[in-house]
Amino acid sequence: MVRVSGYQLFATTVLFQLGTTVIFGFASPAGRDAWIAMLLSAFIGMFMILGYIALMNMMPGLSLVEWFPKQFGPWLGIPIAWFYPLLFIYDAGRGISDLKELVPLTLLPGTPTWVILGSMMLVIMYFLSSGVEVIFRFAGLLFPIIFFLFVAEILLLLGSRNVHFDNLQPLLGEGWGRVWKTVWPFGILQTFGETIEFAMLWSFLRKPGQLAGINIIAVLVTGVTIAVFDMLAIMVLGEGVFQRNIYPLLVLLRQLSISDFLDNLDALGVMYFMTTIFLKISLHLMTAVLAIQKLTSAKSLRLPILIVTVTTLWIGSNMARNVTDHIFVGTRILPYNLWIPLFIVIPAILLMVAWIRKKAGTAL
Amino acid sequence: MGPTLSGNFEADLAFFRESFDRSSDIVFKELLVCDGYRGIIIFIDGLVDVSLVDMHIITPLLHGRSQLELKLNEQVKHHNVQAILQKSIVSACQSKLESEMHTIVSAITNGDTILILESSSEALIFDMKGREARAVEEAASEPTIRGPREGFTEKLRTNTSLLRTRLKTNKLKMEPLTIGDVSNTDIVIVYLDGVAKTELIDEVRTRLGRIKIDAILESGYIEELIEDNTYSPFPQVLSTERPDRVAAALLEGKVSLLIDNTPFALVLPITFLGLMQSPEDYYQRYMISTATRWLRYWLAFIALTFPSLYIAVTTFHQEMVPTNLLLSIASSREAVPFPAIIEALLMEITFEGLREAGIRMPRPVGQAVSIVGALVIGQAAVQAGIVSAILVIIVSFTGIASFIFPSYSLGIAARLLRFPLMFLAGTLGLYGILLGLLVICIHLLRLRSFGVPYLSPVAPLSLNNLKDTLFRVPWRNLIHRRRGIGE
Repeated sequence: MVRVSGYQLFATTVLFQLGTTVIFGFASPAGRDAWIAMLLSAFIGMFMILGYIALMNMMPGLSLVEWFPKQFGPWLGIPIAWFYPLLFIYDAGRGISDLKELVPLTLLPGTPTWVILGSMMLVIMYFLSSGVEVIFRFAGLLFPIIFFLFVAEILLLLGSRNVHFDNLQPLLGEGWGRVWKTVWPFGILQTFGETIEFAMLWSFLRKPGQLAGINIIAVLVTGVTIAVFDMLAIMVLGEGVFQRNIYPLLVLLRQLSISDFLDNLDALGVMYFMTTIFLKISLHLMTAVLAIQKLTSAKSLRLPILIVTVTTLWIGSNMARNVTDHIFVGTRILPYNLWIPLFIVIPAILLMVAWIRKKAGTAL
Repeated sequence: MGPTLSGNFEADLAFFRESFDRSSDIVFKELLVCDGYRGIIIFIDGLVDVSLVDMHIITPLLHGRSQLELKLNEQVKHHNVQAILQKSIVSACQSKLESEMHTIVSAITNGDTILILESSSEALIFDMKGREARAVEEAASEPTIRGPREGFTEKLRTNTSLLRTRLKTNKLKMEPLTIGDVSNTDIVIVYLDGVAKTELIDEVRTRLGRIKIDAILESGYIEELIEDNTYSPFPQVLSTERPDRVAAALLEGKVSLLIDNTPFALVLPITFLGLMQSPEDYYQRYMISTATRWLRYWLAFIALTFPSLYIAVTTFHQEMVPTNLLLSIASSREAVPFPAIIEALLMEITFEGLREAGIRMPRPVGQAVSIVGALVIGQAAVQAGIVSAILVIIVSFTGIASFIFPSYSLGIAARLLRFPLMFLAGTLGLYGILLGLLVICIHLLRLRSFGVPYLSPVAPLSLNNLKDTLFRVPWRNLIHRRRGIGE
């Protein structure tokens, strides 16, 4: 039986939430107030996650896809539950699509994308077949390294004389309007709503009592980390570049120079971005695989892993014509059509049903 | 149960003579113990200390006749000659009675001395082994500056004594075992009772019990037959020549296997970071040891990735290199006709070849290889424009880095994995190296050595045990050493 320690769950949650968000410059439409938008999203997102945890506590030991049949009955519950693994696969496909844009732009301009994505997918397949425990351990191993790099980056940037605190002012100069627009729905859903996937994994926690605490700390760490990077990017690059660039943090890394010897560290930056993307895609797919296993009561994970990885590879390579298209879908279409219903509306209904059932004492 | 001694002296003797026919080193020594009692001593010359047999079996039997007769007369009808011989005539420390033919034959091959008396259905077995053996010498494969100079030898008994002198307690258990249908190799399972977990010891016993093989000629056989994952370049069992290292491992609750005819003892379970430690870490001052450990970790990383980083950077990511350095690399590569990957592979394979040749060649011709190696790699290849001078520096630095592994078998794994990483770097640049490192990392996370995760205590994290892996804290703080590793 897989058992996961509190630290491992914490590390996995933080790295999952950071995922691609750090690279794309979170909440850049909010301009110089992006960091405020970030903190606000983290705050609201925290309550949303606490809502998921409340559901978890009402149905102890059950995972996400088992909640719905339990509360809504099998005829309604199972079809609803199927939406989630499909969404996770789609989200993983978006991760692959991110890579498809990022790698040729930064590391390998001439290499065909199918080689890049295919090789990554093979590694992911190996990772998934190692099981949940290895994924958690991997995150536990990666977390200190990534945060060491973050701290090193921040210190080097602060020492680089490129930081202009004036760029942050005026605070909220254009009011709450654009802040709120980035917070809702994208800010909350992209980073924190996706955490609902962890409902597939929470039952592995060794001490279930720690669940809420771990998640609160994890959300705070994520929120502060991204906010700090947003602030740094704005201070170094200014509002204009920060808003217009697709990968502002990569431009930020390019400003680094260690005594004129180590320049252009962005290639190294891309390496650790890719590591977090890799982990995020793997978690999307692992939860999808676990969900499919639960729904079909398959004995072996092999077939689900094969199906899921191949599908993801196909979706990821074909979903977007170019990066603008990709980001447009990601920020304008996906949140409204898939995320709001699946991350907020259905869990909210479920919470109400479960709560009423509990009051009435008639859980199925 | 096989056939037993019949009591018919002639028939039994014929059986043994037939069992050991065409063997020049077997000795049958007949003697008359006293009137009416014929006896025969059987042993293999070379395995037995003949002077001991002379002094303690033959002499008392021949010259202590009157005493024997006296004692025999005291007994009534069902006297037991063997028991009297065993208890009061023959002065050997270890002796036992045995009647089964099969056991007696294997005792002879094992180096024991057999005494059979006329009209008795039991043989006396004496342990008077006296095999020629190498003296205790310094462990050749694991030298240290400070620390005991003794290393294990090929003789099992010497090795157990080396451990006994280090851990003088009755808690030190040594369970005997024989494996191999033909070789009948003696193996001893060593552990500290109450410190090593019983589940671990049981698991070791079960896995050893499952082994079906004709011969065990070195501990490497056992290592491969009991490890958790055969499809891995990484060693999952520590092999060491140093008794102090084994003793330290036993104190941590590990189990050791001593195998006859090899100076390499096995220690299990073992972790990746455990393999990166040298016993000397605990003999030197803790600050120095901590610094040395970090040096080792960095150099291990370099040994694994340095050539592939060179390939990736010169092939795909020239912009990462400072301009001056890039210029000097470019000018040194100017005359080189090969792409970086071919150039690096050429040199790495030459280097590995030299290293292998250095081990295998007969000692007297050692000079030749080093001269050829130094000239070919150091000078001629660069002057001929086959490889660049920068690459020579990289290959030699990688070579030095690959010598720092305290465990030879872990070092080989790093050397082997360097090559796939070079291929990945040559095709996919830094991205390829990243993928390669991810696969290695996942593989290490999957591995277990007797149930203990290979990367513990780092993953899964155990802050308390990091005291003795990433650092080496002072002994005062290490007293509560990690007994249950991998908890």
